[in-house]
Amino acid sequence: MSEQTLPNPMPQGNVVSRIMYSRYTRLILILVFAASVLLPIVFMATTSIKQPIEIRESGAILPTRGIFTENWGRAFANVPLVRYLFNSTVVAVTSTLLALLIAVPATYSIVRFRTGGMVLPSLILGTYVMPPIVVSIPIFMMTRIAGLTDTLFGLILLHGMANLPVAVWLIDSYIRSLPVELEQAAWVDGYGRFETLLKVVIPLIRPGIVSAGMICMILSWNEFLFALILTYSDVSHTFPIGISRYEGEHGLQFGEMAAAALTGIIPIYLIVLFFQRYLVEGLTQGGVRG
Amino acid sequence: MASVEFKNVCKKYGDVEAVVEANWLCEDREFFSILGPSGCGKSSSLRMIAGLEEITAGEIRFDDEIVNHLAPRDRNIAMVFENWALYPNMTVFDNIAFPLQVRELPSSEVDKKVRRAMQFLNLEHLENSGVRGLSGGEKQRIAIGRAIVRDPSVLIMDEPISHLDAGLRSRMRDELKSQVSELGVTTLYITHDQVESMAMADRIAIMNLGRIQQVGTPLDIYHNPRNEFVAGFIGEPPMNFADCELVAENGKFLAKSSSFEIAITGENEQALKDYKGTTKLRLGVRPESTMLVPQSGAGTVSAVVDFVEHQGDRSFVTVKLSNGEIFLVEAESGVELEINENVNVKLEEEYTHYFDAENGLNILFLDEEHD
Amino acid sequence: MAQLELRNVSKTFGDEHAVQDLSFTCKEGEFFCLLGPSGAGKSTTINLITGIDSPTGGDILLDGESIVDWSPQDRNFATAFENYALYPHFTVFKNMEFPLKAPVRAAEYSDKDRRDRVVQVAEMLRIDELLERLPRELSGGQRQRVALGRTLVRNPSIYLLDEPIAHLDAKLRHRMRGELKKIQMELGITTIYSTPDQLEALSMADTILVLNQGKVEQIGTREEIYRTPKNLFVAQFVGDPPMNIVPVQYQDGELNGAISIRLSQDDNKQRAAAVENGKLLVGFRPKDISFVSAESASSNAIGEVKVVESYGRTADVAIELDAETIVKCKITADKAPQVGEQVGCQIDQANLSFFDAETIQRIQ
Repeated sequence: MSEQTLPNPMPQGNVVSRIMYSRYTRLILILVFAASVLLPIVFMATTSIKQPIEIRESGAILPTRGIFTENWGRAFANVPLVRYLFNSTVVAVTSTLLALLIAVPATYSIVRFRTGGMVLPSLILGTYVMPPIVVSIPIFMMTRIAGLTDTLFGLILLHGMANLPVAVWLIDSYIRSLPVELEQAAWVDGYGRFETLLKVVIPLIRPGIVSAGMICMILSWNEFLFALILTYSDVSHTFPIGISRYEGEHGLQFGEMAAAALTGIIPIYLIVLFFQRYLVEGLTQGGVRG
Repeated sequence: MASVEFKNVCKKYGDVEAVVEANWLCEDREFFSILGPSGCGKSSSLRMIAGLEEITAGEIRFDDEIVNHLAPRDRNIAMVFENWALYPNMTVFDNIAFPLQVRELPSSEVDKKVRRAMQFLNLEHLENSGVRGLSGGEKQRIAIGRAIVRDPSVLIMDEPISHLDAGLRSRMRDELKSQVSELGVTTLYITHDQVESMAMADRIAIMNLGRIQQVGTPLDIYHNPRNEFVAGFIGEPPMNFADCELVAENGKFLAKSSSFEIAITGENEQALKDYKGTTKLRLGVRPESTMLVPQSGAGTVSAVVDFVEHQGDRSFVTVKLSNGEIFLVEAESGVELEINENVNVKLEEEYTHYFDAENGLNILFLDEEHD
Repeated sequence: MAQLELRNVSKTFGDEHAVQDLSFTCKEGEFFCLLGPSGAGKSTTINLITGIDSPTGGDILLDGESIVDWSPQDRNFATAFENYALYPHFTVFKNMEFPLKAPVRAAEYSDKDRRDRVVQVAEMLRIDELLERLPRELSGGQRQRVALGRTLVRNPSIYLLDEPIAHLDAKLRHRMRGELKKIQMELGITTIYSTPDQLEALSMADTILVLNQGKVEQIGTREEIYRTPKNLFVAQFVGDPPMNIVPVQYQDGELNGAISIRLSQDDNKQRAAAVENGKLLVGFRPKDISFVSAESASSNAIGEVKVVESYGRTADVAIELDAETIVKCKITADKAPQVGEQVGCQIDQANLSFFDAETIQRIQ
């Protein structure tokens, strides 16, 4: 059809009832979904302002014995939370950059030169499917031999490598969907392979790189197992490990923990929000005849 | 079978007017083409006929029945789509039988109808083969078979052959035309390609910017274009146009520009007798109605050769008039000319058209506009 | 400027022969056209010349020097791709400027040179209003012109144009044919042009290579291709409508079949007699048929008018001579007969082509 700019036809039949029906159904579905996602966070927020005794005794969501703000002060005073957040940021950002730096050219090579044939791509994903606990002991040994235990660098290296398969997997489909003629045009226009990668391919797969980066960052930020095995001190503890350190005389301090956890969500949420702007779709539209 | 009529049909999308006051009548069993450039409103028209789209105002009638509010499935129309839309996983027989199976007819009935369609379209030998790997012509025949198998009252074709290679397209055109005329079904053919409309349609409605520009037989439209748009849209290569001024001298009318001076004669002169409008005109003449002549004289335009193009049996010379306007002239096949050579172009008076420079109307049709 | 030669070039993809044993020479400054239906191997040939693909066999020479091992960016050819291949993240201006900024020739142009060059080409292609737009904001025809513009800004040794105007509408295509040919003649740059449209080839090319299923059917000037097609494929691919082909039996100066012609010219008799069993295909262009009354003694065939397609002053008429034979003729519209009418056809003997019915090759 030649006039594609025109909107879709209106639905036939009893239009009004159909729209009402779909609107209410949708609203209910959204509410149910939102509640299931938001409830734990709300619960956490209210917990952070409850008396410790109330937390132990009552299961109510809202505080019943008045608002208790001291949890927040103690969360920062009892544990070096700022230090952990800083460590987490350094590890998440640097390991993500490392993963992308390797993943982009690696994926390009896998897709365009068929590096590794059919085997490599499935092997790469295979390494990610494996439960991390399986390799935790050899990883610990290797890190110790390299002298990288209890350092941020060791954790960066490990997170970078661990997240590489995810990055490759995500970027792969973006490069695959890029018409090869765009690259061929650049070669004929006088650009080499590498320059073409820089000037044509990378700008066009930017949404893929950004989404891969976001996923890697979130994975690294939340990663617990390796951080637990490889870090012993405040120098390299990350935020998830920090959360587990809210122990008092009477066991875990849930109020403080909730305050710390809420604090820890904020930076990663801001980062994701910031990069989301770059997740524009349809960047390659109009390049080749479709 | 049925006639299809548009009465003051309008279609708006928000503020955008896709179709404005369209009026036309496609007679029973007529091959009627709606022709226009992309965005002209022809696809909206088609969708309204099919019932895929509601009508903002006006009436659509099949015979005497107003069908404005009938659902698509109640209109008894059949469509052949741009890409034929065959089901690749089904055999030829199943593809054609598909519209009948939806209707829960007894299988003996289905069988009979499909066989009749296949026989008519010479598809019998392909009954059990898949549609993959069939030729374009065969696929087209299957698509038509699927459309006609349930005896529709109107057959709608939406650019069914536009995406084919040039050679195949002209073969398909022939086939399509003879098949449809043998079927004798009312056919609405939507296309942007004037060659298809000219070659196949009994009558054509030309649309532009949502408005019907002219409705008529191909030859009528070709020889008596109602306005400059129609004149320029119909014909390949397209009509030449030049700006000029209407001048009356000694009771004669002249079309004058800095590069030519041509007497207006015949019908055109008659039409100008009591013309009071603008003096700015556009002269229009088809390449085939111009020729290179050795001598300059009355009715000739002097020009220089810009480019010569040979096309087998025909040759076209692009010439530049002294004011820079470009004319395409059909010359005898194989003509040899130097670039920048001076030539004289003669325009055939009876095939020269004049259009009002402001509203684009052919001066022969100016009266109609006042009515 | 350069001369390009392909010597026995072949390309296979898996088991598929995309191009087989292709040899031709495109002379300096020549407008060389690859003509063939889709799937004939035109794009493959262009890709082999640009260096995007390497041939499985054979050699490609530029001015006598083998360039098979050169990378695309070293060949200094400019290509317009059939599917445009515009950089979607660049504006029209940046798209057209891109080749001028390539490392291999960045030093040749100042910023101003580049801008001037782009604007000049854009004006010529009537896209100067669109320079700040992105490809996705353009129509198909505009995109195709940008793709062409990106090719024309450069000063390459060879232009390779892969169906560069195929997707423009008919009016614009007509104008662009003229413009392109003029540009090429003015610049004198060797140009290889691929198209499925015989009209484009006939109207622009100095030399035409007819390609079919990866093999050369004929190489020649447009006159040779049109007047003396080397085989049945070329005869039926070139011309609109294409050449009429009718199987006949030759004996004693006479052709008999769906048409009957008593040959009057010795040259025709000689050629017709060249096949021993006398089984021939005779070919004639649609314009070589004229109508006479069905009873006329001068008619070579009698048939029923099946379809009349009128294009204004001219009309194509399809006539069914017998169940297997339909011929088409091109006449002025006012002489067109009615559908269903019986007419006599008289065939001009001056331009007859003969093909051996078995080998389907032309008899010279």
